[in-house]
Amino acid sequence: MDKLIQELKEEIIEALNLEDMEIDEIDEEQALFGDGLGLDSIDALELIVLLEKNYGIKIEDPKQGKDIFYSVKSMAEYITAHQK
Amino acid sequence: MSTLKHVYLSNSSLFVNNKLVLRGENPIFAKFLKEVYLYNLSRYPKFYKMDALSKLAFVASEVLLKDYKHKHQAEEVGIILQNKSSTIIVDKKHQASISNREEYFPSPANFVYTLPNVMTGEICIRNGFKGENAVFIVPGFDAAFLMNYLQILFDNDKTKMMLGGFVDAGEDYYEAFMFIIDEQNYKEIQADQLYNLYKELKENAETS
Repeated sequence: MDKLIQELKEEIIEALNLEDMEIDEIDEEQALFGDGLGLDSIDALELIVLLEKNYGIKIEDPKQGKDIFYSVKSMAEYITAHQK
Repeated sequence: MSTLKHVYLSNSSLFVNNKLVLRGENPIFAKFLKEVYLYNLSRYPKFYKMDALSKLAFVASEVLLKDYKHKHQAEEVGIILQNKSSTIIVDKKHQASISNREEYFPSPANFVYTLPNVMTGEICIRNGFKGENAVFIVPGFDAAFLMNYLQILFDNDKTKMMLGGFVDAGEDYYEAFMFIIDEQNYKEIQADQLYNLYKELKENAETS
């Protein structure tokens, strides 16, 4: 799980162009949206693409998004549970 | 023309009011934009998410508006820009992401920048401007068209200050010419003078 969390942090920085942010600055339990990393709705779409492109996971129910993308840790847990 | 504050960026050079203030260390467009951003401008993390064209317009506007004091209302300030190549850089990226059915992963972050007027939107969001804003696609900087349009806006008394200019970028070229014009000086500025200023800056950047 730790390896996946590190990998996800790197992918998020790259996919969302967070160039002024280092991996260590992202706490895996920190909220990605709102007061946390301050991501926006376009970033949410990028994360959905990232999950499908890099892990082959398609989110069928958009309502799940809020829980899946709450934090890096919640993303990693979802990937671990759903990757084939 | 002495009252017109202006900036010009091209060929790794940044001019403010005809004076070379930054000569980029890196000839690569993206790296030069980052150099300008880091050059004495306030931190704005969204800069990194913009496409190259918006970054170019954004840094030009930041340099232009730095230390520029005015008391106009948000609705009285607008931006009218011209551009030749639309959003060709990000258009090509988007095209590449959808050209293969097996690897069909269009990027939402790229797609939202496939309209050139997004660059004026970014500047308006940053500065809270709510006046007229538009981008016109033209074959090259058209000072007569732009000045005519700006004069109509000033004459309707709703507009007090405008950012105007020409911002264009492709894979191996880029330039931004941007100026501030207001209700005090707009009648003094003739289109041919503005065009000559642009030509002079362009030549200076090419030989700097």
